[in-house]
Amino acid sequence: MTETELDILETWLDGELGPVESVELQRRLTAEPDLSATLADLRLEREVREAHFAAMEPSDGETRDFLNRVEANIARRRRWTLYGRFTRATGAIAACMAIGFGIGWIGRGGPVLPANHTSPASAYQVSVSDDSGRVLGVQHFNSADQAREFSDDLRHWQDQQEQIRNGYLVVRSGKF
Amino acid sequence: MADPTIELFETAVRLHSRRLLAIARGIVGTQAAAEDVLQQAILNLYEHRARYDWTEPIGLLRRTVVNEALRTLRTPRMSLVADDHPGRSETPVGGMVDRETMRLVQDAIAELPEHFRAALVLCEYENMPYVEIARILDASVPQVKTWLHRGRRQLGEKLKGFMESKPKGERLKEKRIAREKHTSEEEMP
Repeated sequence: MTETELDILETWLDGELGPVESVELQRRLTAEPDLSATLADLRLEREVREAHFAAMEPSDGETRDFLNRVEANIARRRRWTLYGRFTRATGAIAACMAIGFGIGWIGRGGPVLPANHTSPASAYQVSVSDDSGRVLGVQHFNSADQAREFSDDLRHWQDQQEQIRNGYLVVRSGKF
Repeated sequence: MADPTIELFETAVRLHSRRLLAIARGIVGTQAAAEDVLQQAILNLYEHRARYDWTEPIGLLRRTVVNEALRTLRTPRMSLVADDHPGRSETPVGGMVDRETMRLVQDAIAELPEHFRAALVLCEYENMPYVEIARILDASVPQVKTWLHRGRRQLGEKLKGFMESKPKGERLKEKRIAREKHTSEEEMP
């Protein structure tokens, strides 16, 4: 069997052979047992590969677990995007406050939660204030949980910034 | 109010993740690496979701996953260790393919160049036309045909001895099953 003949057979199996060539191939398959036997071999190889690829599919449970992990990551990313936007908005003032007081831009009391109910769409808010109590920024949330998570993240970030300023870093992994 | 883009995005991801994981695994070889690939692809798409039309998402999802899989394989520090084949007892061909055969096929496919493997997965698992495969792999149609042809020949050579060593009756049965399936599909290859 030539490489060209094998190529024609595979192209036909892929459904990509033109109509004229397909008619010619079918005529040859009827007349040439060797060609027909080769086609059967190619089909068999293909069946085995199809079975292999089908077995690559995860189960429903595995897919669900995977999707849960991805959703958690996306939720985390959403929070941090929000957080980034918030810190950018207050960043210019925060830099001044950091120089002025030398201890950071978030007030000692940290973020305030929850505060005023402004509207049903943003019933919860986190306010950030400096040491003098001046409000630097306000972020609105639809639920207390979202506001709490944001507040926790902000506190965590604040702690990290202080550690960096004070010159100590915590190494969380022992593996290098 | 919920963002309609996010809703469409989430629906698309939920609907297609299973097949996308299989595509990724067909290219990168292991379940863990496939999950990393798909997760990264999803996160990248999420970041730029506003740029895309999510009413017809499968093409975009496929392309992103394949590109991410190929990128992962090109990363020098990445080393993949083949995990156990899932080896389901019930395969689409009625359980005729045994675990040993599956293992051999898996090993043989893992040895193919990455583009051959990607083309094969898209052609034989996703049943995509050459022109679509070429678009996803950023190649020409003749190039895709060459990859498929060479990939299949390499696999054929690797498995030749094994297929021939199987008992004659078993091979005939497999051929008969394959033939019957073909006949039932009539003129369509």
